[in-house]
Amino acid sequence: MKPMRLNICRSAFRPTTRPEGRPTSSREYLMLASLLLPLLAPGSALAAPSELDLLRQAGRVMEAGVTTDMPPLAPGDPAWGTAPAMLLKIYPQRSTAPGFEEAAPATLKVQALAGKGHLALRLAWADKSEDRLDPKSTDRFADAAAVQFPARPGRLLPYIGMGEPNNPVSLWFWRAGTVPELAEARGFGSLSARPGTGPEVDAVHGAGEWAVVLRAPLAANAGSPLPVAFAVWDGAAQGRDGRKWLSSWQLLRLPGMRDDRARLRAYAAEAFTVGNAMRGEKLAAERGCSACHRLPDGPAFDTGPALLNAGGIHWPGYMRRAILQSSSFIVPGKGYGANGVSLMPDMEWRDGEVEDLVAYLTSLK
Amino acid sequence: MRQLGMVIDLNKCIGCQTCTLACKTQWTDRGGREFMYWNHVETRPGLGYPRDWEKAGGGWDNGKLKPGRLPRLAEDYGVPAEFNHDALFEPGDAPLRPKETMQWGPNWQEDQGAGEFPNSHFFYLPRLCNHCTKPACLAACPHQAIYKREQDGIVLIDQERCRGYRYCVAACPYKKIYFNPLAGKSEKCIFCYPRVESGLPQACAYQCVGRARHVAYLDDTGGAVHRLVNEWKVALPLHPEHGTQPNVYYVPPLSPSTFDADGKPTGQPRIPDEYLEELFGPAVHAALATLKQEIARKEKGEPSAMMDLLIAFRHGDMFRLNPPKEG
Repeated sequence: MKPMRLNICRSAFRPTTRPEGRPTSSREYLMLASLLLPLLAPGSALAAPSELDLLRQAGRVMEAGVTTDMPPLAPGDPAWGTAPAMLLKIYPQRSTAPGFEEAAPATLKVQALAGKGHLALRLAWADKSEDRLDPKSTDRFADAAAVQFPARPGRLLPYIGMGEPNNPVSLWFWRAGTVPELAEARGFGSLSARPGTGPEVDAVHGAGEWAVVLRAPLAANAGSPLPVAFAVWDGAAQGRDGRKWLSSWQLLRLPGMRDDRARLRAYAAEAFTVGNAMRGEKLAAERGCSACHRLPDGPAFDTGPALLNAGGIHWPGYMRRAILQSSSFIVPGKGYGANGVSLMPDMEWRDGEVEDLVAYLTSLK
Repeated sequence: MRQLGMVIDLNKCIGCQTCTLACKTQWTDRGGREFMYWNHVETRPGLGYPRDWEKAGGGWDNGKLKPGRLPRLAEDYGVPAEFNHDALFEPGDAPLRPKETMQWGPNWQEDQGAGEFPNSHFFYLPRLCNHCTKPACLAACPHQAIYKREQDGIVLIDQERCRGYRYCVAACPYKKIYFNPLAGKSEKCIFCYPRVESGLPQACAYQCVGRARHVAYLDDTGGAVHRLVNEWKVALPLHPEHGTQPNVYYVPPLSPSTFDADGKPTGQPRIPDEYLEELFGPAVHAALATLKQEIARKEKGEPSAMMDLLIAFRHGDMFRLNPPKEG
């Protein structure tokens, strides 16, 4: 392996904390080498892996199929039989209360088709009972699903939990038995209606599974790859609000659109860490993270968001930002900060410590 | 923050439900609210409305919200009955009956009470949102849809923001927030804020034929609420142990003596003091003593400012809705 080649891709996941031009330690080179080995297999040895390859390797990329006409709304349409599919692990929301404490991770099958300026997403997941909003019930909840996009897709992925104050998300929201909604949010509890065309939805429940297609015009500023994330609610488990499963951000490549190189580069930098998870775990204990954040087997303090499934729902780049720029994520009404300043203290970090912590948090799934 | 308060004299409530109807016709007669009673009168002892609401959880425990459950429409609130009116125009003698069997309602156990003759007893307890000083509903809403107004302390649900999550319904220890299953949003007593803003008392208070309800701001030292709650201490919040600090207060009911096996009065009240303590807390004993003392005064022909307040010689004197102070 020539260092030259490595340098090209190193830029993709250079920790943001590292000052320009600083040499990477030999330990980190080893980490990088092990990451890249599969990509440098015979046949590809001549070409440096692109950012797209790296992101694919990390399981962050979804392909949308193309339709000549409007993509189909019916979940049973034969076009879905051949559309590319991705199985996503979805995690119970336990970052903030009220959460979905008792639930286990689940699987969501996602397919995407695009055509005639529209994007259709087909979501399928297991759910024993069909729960619709019942006009004759005050104590039952409806099954629901939502798709989240950055409201202003750019180089920075918004906070996965409903966006952040300066980086909002837009959402397609469907609840069984109601009219689908177009919404936007800037953090926990900030969901509000968004003007514009909401999604059309067709949903079928059968054999213990929901198949739901949401279709809407593709936003003019979408670009490719388009970050997209998913959430589903189980009405029978009192699912609503934060009692949901959610995925991490995925990158949806849209047919007929050139990949935005700047986005790819930025997302690739967010997708990896070169830290050491075991050292990070020790560091988390030393710095007393669990005095505010819930960690596995730790006390149940909730001054800050719980980090139980952090690695399942967040990208390493988010952890890095959360540690270094915690005030970007203050959510009104949650008490995580005051006057725009996060309660999380600014800490002194020694060389590599932030990455170690990021690696530890990324391992929490 | 100013706080509008209400005092309800349970010794004067005759259970006529005029307040209930005044509220219902004003606010909850359509649109998925048919089952809701923002104001209702339940008979105590009894399970109340919604059924067994005192065991449905909610309120505060050392600064933490206590868990609560959501009442069920048919079983705990009761669906208003549709009757077979068509049958009246048909030949035959089919009786007028509800089409579906009702399971509960706002006055389901009306006049049942407790105890054996001759010591059976009951009293009426009108209930509405308490517009609490520390509303558990407000704290429970993850969407910041509930707010408490600066000018009068009225607690309201912003219908634009409400997403129907119902954490507020579970959190209210009085179960006075209702989920509207047609609208998909939660709704509650608004303390007739449009009337209050015009200087009028709430419909339930104004329509009370027994002159049982007084309305005034708590900081209005000349008002009946301050005088009965803070000076005379004869008006008490319901279930103060939930920690929400209600702003609807009750003058506890006195009751005639029980009879012993020989039919002689024992001097013990038919409504057990312990039962009233369950509802209104330990302060109820002093309140009952003050009430008896002031009634005795009046019986001897001596003046009692407190009794004059409770008697409410002039209807208009019961309501002091002076506009909020400037600034």
